[in-house]
Amino acid sequence: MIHLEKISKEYSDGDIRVIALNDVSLTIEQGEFVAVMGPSGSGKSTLMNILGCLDVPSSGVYRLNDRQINNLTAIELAALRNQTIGFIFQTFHLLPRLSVLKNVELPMLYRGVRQRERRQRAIELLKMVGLEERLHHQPNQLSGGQKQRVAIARALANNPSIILADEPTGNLDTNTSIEIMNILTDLNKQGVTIVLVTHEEDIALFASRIIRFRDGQIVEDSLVS
Amino acid sequence: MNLSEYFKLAVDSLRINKLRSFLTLIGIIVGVGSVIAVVMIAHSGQEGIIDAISQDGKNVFYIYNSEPNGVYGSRAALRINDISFLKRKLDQEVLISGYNIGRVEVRINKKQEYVDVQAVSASYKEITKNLDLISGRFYSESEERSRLKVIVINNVLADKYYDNAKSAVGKTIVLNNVPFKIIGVYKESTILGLGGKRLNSYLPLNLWNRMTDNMQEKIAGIQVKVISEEVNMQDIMKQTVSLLAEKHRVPKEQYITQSIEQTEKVVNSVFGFIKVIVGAIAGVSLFVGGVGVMNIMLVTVVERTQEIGIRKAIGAKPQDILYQFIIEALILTLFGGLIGAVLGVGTAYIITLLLKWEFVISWSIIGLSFVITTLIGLFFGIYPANKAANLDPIEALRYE
Repeated sequence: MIHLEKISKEYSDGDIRVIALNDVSLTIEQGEFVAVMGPSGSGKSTLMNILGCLDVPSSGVYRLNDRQINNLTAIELAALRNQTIGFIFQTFHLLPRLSVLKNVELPMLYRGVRQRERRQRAIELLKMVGLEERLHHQPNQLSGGQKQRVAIARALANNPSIILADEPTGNLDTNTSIEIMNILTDLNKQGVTIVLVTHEEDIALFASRIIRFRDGQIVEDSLVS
Repeated sequence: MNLSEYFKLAVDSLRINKLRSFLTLIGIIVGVGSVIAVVMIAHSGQEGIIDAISQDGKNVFYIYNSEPNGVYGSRAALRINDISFLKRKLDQEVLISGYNIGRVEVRINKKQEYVDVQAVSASYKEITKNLDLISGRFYSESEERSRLKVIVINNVLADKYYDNAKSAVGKTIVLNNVPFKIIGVYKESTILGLGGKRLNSYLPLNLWNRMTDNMQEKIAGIQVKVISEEVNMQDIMKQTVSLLAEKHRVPKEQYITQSIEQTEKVVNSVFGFIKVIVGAIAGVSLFVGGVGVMNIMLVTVVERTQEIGIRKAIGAKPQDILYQFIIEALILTLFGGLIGAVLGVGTAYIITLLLKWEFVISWSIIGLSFVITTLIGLFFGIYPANKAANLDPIEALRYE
């Protein structure tokens, strides 16, 4: 479902040219749970941005669900981010002044789902992540783990086929991290493809496949036994 | 996403920054309010003056000497016999009154007063609509011909010395030691609530001429009313001047005609000018208000960079962001416009009330203000909104 072929990404940072990804080829099948690891600057964030259609590669071919991404318009990329991909971020990225419920409704709002249906689905998802008591709270009234659970509910709003989680436990304590990872594991069992960026080995072990990056290249790609 | 969803998004954001939104509104409120107030006050004044001068009707005009004491001296001067002359010679059936204006010493209850006199022909009451008799009657042509000593006084004089209009009728008043009979009382008219406080009266014209030893029977002017409504006033005014010039053997330039229409035109152009100038000055504050909106929208876009990044990451299209911010700007300006309109109309109402003018609501200026505020919202909202819509999602997400 995800197919990268000789993907490279270069930035020019002032006069310096930075090669963030260097000739990366990678295939991720539907239903996989992949952890991407590597030191900072190894290219894993750039990979996530490209996978998430937030960025386009300098060269190479990216196919998502057999659709070539390279020459899509901003509107088509937005639609993919909206309906095919769900994001989970290290710093949660909830909209601070909207209620939990409205945050979860947001992707559906942009898809054009009607208010009643939106609300129903958002409540359903928040129940699933155990936050049905917190529907009308603002994000700053929640703990880190609760915020991340809201973010997961939001990511799932439009039934995406892939969840991209960028250090989802980076700001959480161990117990909460495990809770979040359990939720992701459950989702994966239900068939959702998950790509997880982390630098914590024990978190990576929740995945079934670990890809390690260094200097913009894959140095190891192994299955977890 | 439909319009109401964008609207809700915008309202949510504006609510979060209530104080700031309100401060931004003030610029627009003051702008719209002052434009509406100024134009409506001027408009009310204009209507009031037009109303006052149009009371004689469109088919009435005046003739007077352009230079009463000029080189032609008394030869050019209008005389009382010009009235019957014009009546005979003019193509159209007309009512004509001559007039002189003066002042007379009056003794009432052993007190001395000065009363203004408008000496007019008996036909005057048929010519003007301006004469509001509240008691008694106006003098007749036979009374005028036989030089009966009759007078019509105004309500100010009646109220001052005879308690009221009704009790004044039938009483005797002494002008220059000559007793006159009061046969009617009229209500003094006002323009924009001004005037209406002088002691004033009407006397038969030829009687007045005799009282003032006006042997040549000169008159200050002639007032003509054309009976037919469907007549070209310009033609008949020209004919009047020609006839008079011929009779007095002086150039036509010695006589000036003035119709209500001409006066109306002058009043309208003066007020039109006032409205444009003052309206434009007030419009500047509206422009400044618009710049204020743009300024706040630009600050908002920078402040909400991360929010925009998040929205884009979860699937907002560039135009979703664009519309959200444009609608925010539009709500700000339109809401400001609405409050401004209410305050502007209220201000105009209170000021016309204080001036005792009749308040005239001008829907066209209210409509125009809304069109202009909408355009201002769009004009000053598009640039910041476009900036927001084109932010790079990755950069925006990273922005702290």
